[in-house]
Amino acid sequence: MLHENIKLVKYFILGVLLQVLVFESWNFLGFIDPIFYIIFILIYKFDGSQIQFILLSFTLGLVIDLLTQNPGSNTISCIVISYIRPFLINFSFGVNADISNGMVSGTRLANRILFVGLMIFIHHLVYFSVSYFSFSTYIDILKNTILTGLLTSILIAITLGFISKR
Amino acid sequence: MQQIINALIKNKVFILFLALLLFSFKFISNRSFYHHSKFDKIAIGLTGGIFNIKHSVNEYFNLKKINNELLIENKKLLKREINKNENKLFNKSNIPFDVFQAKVIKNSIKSSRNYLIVNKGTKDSITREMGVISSKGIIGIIYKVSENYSSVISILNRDLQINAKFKKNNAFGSLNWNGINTNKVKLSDIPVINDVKIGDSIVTGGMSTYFPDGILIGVVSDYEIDLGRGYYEIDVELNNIIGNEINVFILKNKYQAKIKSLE
Repeated sequence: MLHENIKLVKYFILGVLLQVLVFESWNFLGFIDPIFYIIFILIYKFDGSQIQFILLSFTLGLVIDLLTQNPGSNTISCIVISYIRPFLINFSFGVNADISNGMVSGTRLANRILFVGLMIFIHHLVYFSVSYFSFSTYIDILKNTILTGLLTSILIAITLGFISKR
Repeated sequence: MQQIINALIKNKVFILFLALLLFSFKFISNRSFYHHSKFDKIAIGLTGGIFNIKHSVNEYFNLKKINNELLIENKKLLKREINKNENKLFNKSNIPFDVFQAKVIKNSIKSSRNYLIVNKGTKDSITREMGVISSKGIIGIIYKVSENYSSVISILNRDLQINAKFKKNNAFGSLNWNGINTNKVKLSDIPVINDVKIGDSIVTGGMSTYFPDGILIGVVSDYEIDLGRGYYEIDVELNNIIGNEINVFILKNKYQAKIKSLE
């Protein structure tokens, strides 16, 4: 249990530091900044307390917002994604949804890809919708969601490839 | 009671989610001016819709009073129409104003920064910074505009300053509210060389682009001399009661953009 928690703290701090120091100023192709800290929300154990998880995600978003001078889009998108995560877990993993750390071991690759893809897409969609906050810019919102989402997915896939077991 | 508590416990995750979401919206609106004004726009639209219903009920019961007001106003307009041709040569202030008629659907006088909401918006070509008057005096200046409604900074708002002058000798100063009495405002910056008597009329100064020259604001009810600065501190009793206003007129200065570009 203690070991699990230390691992979570490690991912929390690693996510924040990498996001703030590296990815926030990357500007890939001029405008794409991948959102890496979402790895914490993906990897958090599936059967943990939902209240504790929402509060942790909220703190994560808030810290990122405060450190990157963002008005608050990260906080809102983190809360939304952490609230709907149980539904997405049930949807993507089906009968395997009760495996505690399903992102690391014990589940099939296709299920994991579906889960990560859905989470990243919804997170980015909420993030850019709140950032632009206007219906008339939906083209920009979709463009940013898809391009940034692709880059985030690649980064997350590489990272998960290192830490997960078959 | 037990059932309510059970329901709360059952939905605790959702309640926590909603609370955090509300907090984040508050957070984002405090940190970003863009989001703040967007939320304001939505809020004006919503309150406008609700108060419109309330207003239409109230309006029905006030028809008789409004009728009387209209009669008096018609009389005044007729008089002005008749006198217009005689005064044409001497009428110095001929800045043309367009007039839009609107109705107040929400009016607050309780805070120190009061706002009104009127039922005209961008659809009726209302824009920001237009003056708002009633038949008895001035009301304020348009602050924010949504599609169907606009909010008006009331003259009973501590942030608003209006150029005003004495009708008898054109000595001008600036008018603002001290936040205490809802039918009194303060006129300051009138130099002591001018003669002030209780009962003198105060009118708009015409030096701003919001209001034309010479609209009655109120009468002097009290004054004192600030010897240290050499100016009067004058209490002006408003001619209109802001809390009772229903029919208002929005004034659009056709040359406002041109004048602004010169300033």
